[in-house]
Amino acid sequence: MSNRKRFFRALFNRKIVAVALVVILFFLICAVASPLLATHDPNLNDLYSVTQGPSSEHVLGTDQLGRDVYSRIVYGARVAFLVGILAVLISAVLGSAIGLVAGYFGGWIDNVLMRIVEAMMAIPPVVLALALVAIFGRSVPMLILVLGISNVPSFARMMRGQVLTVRDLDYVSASRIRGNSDFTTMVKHILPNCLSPMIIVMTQSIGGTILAEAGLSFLGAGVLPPTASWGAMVNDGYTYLEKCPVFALAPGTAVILLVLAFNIFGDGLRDALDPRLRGSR
Amino acid sequence: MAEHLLDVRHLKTVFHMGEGLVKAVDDATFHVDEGEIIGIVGESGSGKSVTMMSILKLIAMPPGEIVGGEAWFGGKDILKYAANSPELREIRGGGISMIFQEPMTSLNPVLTVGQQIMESIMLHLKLSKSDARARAIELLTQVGIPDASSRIDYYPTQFSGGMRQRVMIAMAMSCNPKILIADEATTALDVTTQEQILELLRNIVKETNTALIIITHNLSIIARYAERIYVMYAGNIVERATSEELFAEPSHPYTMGLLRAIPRLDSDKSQRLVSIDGIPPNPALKTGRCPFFERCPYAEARCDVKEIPEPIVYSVTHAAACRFRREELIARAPAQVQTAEKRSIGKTPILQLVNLSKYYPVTQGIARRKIGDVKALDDVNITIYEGETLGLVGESGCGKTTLAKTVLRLQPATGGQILFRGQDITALKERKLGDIRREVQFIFQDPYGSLDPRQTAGSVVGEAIRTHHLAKDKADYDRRVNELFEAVGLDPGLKDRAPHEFSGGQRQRLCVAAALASEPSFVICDEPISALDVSIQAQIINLLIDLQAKRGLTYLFIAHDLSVVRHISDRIAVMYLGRVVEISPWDRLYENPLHPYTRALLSAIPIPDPVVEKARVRTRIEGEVPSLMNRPTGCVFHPRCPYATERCAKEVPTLQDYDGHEAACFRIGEFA
Amino acid sequence: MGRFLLKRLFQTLLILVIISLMAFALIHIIPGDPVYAMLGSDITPEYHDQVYESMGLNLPLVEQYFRWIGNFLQGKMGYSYHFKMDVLQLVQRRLPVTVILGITSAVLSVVLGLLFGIITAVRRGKPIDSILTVLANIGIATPVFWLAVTLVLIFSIKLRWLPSWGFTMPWVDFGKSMKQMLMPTICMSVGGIASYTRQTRSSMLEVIGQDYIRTARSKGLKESRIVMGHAVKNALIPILTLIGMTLRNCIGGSAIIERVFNIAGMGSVMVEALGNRDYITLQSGIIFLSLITCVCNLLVDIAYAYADPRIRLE
Repeated sequence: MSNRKRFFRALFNRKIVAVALVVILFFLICAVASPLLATHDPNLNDLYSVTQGPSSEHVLGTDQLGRDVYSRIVYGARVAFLVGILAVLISAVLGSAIGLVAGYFGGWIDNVLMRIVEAMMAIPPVVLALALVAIFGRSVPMLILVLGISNVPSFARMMRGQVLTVRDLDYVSASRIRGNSDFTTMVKHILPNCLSPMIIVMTQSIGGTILAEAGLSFLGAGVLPPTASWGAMVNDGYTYLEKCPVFALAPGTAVILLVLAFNIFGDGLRDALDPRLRGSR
Repeated sequence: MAEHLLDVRHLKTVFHMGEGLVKAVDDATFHVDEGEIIGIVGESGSGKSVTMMSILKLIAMPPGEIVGGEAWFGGKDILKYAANSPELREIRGGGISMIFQEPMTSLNPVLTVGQQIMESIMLHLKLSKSDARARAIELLTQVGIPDASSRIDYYPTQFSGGMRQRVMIAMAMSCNPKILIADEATTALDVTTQEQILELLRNIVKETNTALIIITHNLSIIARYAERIYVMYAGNIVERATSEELFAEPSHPYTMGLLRAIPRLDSDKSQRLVSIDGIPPNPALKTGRCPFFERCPYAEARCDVKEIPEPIVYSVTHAAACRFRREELIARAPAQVQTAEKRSIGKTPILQLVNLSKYYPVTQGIARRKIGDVKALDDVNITIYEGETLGLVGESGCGKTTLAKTVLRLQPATGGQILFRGQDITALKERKLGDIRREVQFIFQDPYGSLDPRQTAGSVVGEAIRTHHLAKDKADYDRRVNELFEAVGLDPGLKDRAPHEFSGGQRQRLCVAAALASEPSFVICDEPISALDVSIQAQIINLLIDLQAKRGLTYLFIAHDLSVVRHISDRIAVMYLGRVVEISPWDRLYENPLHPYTRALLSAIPIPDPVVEKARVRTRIEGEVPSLMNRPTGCVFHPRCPYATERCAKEVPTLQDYDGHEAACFRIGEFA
Repeated sequence: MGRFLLKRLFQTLLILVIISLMAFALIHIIPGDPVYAMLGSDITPEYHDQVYESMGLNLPLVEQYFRWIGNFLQGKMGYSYHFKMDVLQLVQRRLPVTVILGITSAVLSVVLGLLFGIITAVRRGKPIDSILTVLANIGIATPVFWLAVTLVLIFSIKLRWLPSWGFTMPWVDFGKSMKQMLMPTICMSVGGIASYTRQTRSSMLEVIGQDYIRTARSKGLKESRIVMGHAVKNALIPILTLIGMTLRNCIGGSAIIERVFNIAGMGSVMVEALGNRDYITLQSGIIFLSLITCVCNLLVDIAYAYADPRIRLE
């Protein structure tokens, strides 16, 4: 009880963290309640009013097919959250499994797994994602899988390092001396103590993943049209930059706000959960 | 008024922390004269280091702040200078220099030791680079670093701990300071190395007429080296005296308590240690009363006022900040110290180690070709009888922790046998170890690392009960956990707290309770008190002795502190570089140590009594414990042994029995 | 030190083998027949078989791999049906553009990032620290394409100072080249600058809290000397390991930048090859780009061993 209170006090010690949480919640509401918040159908073409600037009818103007930019940004939050959170979950599960196995067993298993992870890290991230898109194709679930896989290395390395530190601590030996099996020791004593760095890295990765999704969509390798995605919207708007800059700039601003909010919240979480890591990363 | 070299008056330092104002130093007044050696003794958190660092403004500011006091040095109040002002920087290193505790981290790892020493010399003595280098080499030679002209270009990692501390001394002395402050400078070192460094410090300051301030938690060291002593407690200097006065006539209840609480090499073992109850006060929650009020056995109603007592002056050099005079305190001394309960020691062996060895392979290259072994345990033979306490002593690298881990089957043995109650458990499969895991328990050195931070105190203690299915039902489980809490002197109401909410001493009690949960008969204690504050150590020692008497436990008690081992053990084994060099009943070992290493070890331990200290004849040895990688051939001790012959370098001596007192030395007949 | 580098060299070779396996696997994992996938399903069966055989797809897998890697090492990387030229030729023409952009922005990232990081750490809590830290946070959160689009809007469309597209080699027309490279390099380095600023700051702060810094203070050294002589050297050691990844990240970003600024580099080759299912080009591209990262990492390892005596003396 007092622990929880202390945690929240530490978390919101800096007001900016609370602001970040509000921004995240705001976009989350956009994603969940898009139909209520949107003023127009995001996929409704209106060829009579294309690439128009902001007006009372269209708050942020219209795109090249006459769709309402504001409504598309609201719907775009869905893709951002879905991809950001699910992809990070996939990489967290896969990455920690690899890291746990590599760290716990060591030896040649560790060697092989880590070389594969390093090989994945040697390929530039966009190129890796593009190659995976080539294999899996383009759709929201596939995009989640692609981004999930390309994020596996960082989780695997983090988890392995964590397991290596925890494995040699006295309380792990103590558990074995008390007669617990290797499995019990791992589940009861090693895993729970690797959890907080895990949660921290997960929060911090969501922002990066949303950025990556926007980047892939910008390159035309992300979600399929007409689904609204912020990155694809910037790509569309780029062509009309001279005529109607808000069309390209508004969705990009949404990306910055949400990513910034996730990053700041992640930093706050790190400071609150693990004071030793304060100021790092 | 006579000028002192350094005169500090009413120094007050606070830290502005998240949880409030931490008053680290309340009122520190002390002085030191030219060429004098003084000691400041206190537990962790007593403010002794902060006091010294405040004078040179080396504390972090903020959060630290010096809120009052003066520090006169060379006719100036140096507290008036700003933290990084040119005036203060001139004094740092030039007038007052410091040596810190951790030799491993106090030197910059990416600069050579020469660069680090020359930097000071060029700054303060304004010498040219080549002159500075010449002086650095001269200094390194002076502090006993062999081959200094080439070692000057070594990096700190290439030196051992003791050598690094010598480098620190050379650096600190490089600019002819007036005062040298040694802040726990030998705490991290082995016993024999510690003695060498302290001797070196004493010789070097006496030669150059430099004042030396030794800051330590160790009363015995101070008794041997300091001329005057200040005792600090919770940010206050509670007593000041000459060394002789302090040990002959301690006049503050805290000093008296400390002297009663630490076992000595020459104390009466049948006397129970008188522990100081409670824990030092939280510096963030000071009440303004006498700082020792809560723990003081003499405290009365008149002590319960929000005012720190005025010191009673006994002589020019002796004063204690207590409302009672020494005679009143002595008259009201706590009841006669209880005698430890007698135990019967069985004749049946509980644990036998037969030619036990543990080697770690050394590999080289990508293919991990094995090129040799590190012999952490080499041919160890020890028998422990039911109900006894076997003390195991030795310095770093002697294999005492490896021995514990091997016996506990946390790692496989390389050779030999481990017999528990006659059963060979050396190669027993993990799942067949079940009952052994219940019977053999372990208490770790570090009470902070050995408790899972994610569990509650109750579940840590009860874990073994569940693992071994010892409880019939939930009620029985709860009853057992409560009993364990009470057995180690903890309130069962604290069961739901997390380990980090307990103090160090309480955590060690939790560890003891967790070890006892499976109803073991044999407990290995690995340095169980060395991470604790001096005033807490006696509590744990007494607890262990009481539990042994009540539950008929057998202990393997591992420690580096020979006075503690002497107090608790029935028999003692001395290890050096993986081999047992001497094993004997405790009284014979201390009366007549046979092995030259045991003699050196014993004489390296100071006795907290300057009168006794001065009369002692001491055997000194040179050098440090070598790394296991470069293990000497023949007798492992021969390179440091004053009695070594050619034979010692070739043949390995085995344990020889001298009337129940065994030692492994070829020249033993000459000493026995 | 020699042993350390030998070990790293061996590991790097292993990593390259794994990457080549991954690239090789690409063509076999994609759904469907790779030849039809590349050339479309409206080609004649004879042509299909001809291409199929020329790629060696009829051979057993192990033999295929060795034939492919053998050819690759001899410079026979196959023919790109999309770009209508030999892949080696294509790479020779396009890779230098990306490498020049990548190296310029990597250098910019590292130099400015370290500088800002040291400044923020030394001036901790001062206004300059707050400003740079906030900027670094925003820099990390800003999508490269958005920054590029904004810069184009301001400097090309509104102010008309800089060209919005194209790339010229510096030795052909230096002035033009600089004008064209300015915006792309800024976009590619902002993320790097921002993350180095943060990393260096935290590493510096950690070092400043170490015992040996206290020792240096107790010797009476000036604060500037403590920072430059004692702290920076130690703080850079953990940062060094990250530097190997900078060029990789910059080149990764080039796919987006080359698209915005219409630059004919390796990044746009990869995007185009993907869009047109040109797997032959894609395979070679992956290997070339990863090779660059591996070489960088190896160089960093050498620097690492040089900077840290604890490794050098091993």
